[in-house]
Amino acid sequence: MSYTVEVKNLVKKYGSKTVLDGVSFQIRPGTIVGLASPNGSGKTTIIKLIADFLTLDGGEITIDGQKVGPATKAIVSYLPDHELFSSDEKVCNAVKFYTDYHKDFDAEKCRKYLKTFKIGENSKIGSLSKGIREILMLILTLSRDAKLYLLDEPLANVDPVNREAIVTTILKEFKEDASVIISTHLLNDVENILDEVLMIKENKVFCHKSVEEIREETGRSLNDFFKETFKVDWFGGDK
Amino acid sequence: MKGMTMSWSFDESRPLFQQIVERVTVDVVSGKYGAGDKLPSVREYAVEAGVNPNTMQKALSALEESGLIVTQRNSGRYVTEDSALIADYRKSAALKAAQDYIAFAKSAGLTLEEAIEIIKEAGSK
Repeated sequence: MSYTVEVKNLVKKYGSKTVLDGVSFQIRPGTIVGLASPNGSGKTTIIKLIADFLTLDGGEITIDGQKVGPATKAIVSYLPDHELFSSDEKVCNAVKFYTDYHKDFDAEKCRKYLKTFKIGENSKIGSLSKGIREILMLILTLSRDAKLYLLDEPLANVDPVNREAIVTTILKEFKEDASVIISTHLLNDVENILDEVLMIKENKVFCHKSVEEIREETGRSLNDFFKETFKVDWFGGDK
Repeated sequence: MKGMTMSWSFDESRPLFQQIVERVTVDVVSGKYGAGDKLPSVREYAVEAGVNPNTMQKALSALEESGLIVTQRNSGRYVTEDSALIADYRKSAALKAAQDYIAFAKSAGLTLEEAIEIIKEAGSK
């Protein structure tokens, strides 16, 4: 069986601080995986390592059988958790940048979604609300024909109505031979579209499981299971 | 948002698979999709429901095994032409709802006769 993503014994340190310590997992083609952990526990680091925007301190990552590097960037569509374009830039220039930079970019599809979400192509990016800027970035990311989509916190600043519209857009654009990794702590908004969840706890993989299995075994929603797993131990400091 | 509809509502503490099976069964027994009608594709149904396509696929396969849905090679999924089978499913869906109601009525201290009277009253409104 070939995997879309194969991560073996990943180690990442920032200075003397170990963020990831022996993280291993595989993601099959045609699956949507939620990457969940509380803030500051390495979600963005994992995404950036897979996107080849950081170098690893140990271990190996392969995407569609190839070692992470310039070649895999061509088959990975990455939505970063930070702004990519300056606020003076117009929407149409962002579209042009994606058209020029990514061979697999479908400008027509992108324009269709810009209309759906009423984003004017002549608007300056800085004039859009934070939530709409996130939607713009998501549209650009999903308009590529990639093998792997990395969505880092795609819903953080988006209102509930647009969250649902975004989730629908992800489902509409989902391709059977591609995989999607969505990093989020807003699990109740995405749990119904996930095949699996990957939870990181104390620098390691805490669980990598089918979401339906979690519901079956625990009688809880993924969101409740997540909250239970990472509950703050108010009295832990006294021990 | 234009063109976007609210997705189905689920109880996320139970597997979605069974809830999808129940919901699609209702789509059929209610006549939303009648005997012999073409059903939406897995993707269309998944988008409508707001669920993972693999989960939708699994639910539709289960309905195929039960005979309510039939697959015609290359042309998609259809509701069975067997209207007696659909009637059976309609009856068992109603039976299940009735059992839930009777269980509630019992716990609320009603007799079966009182519970039936309430159904008649509700039906006449």
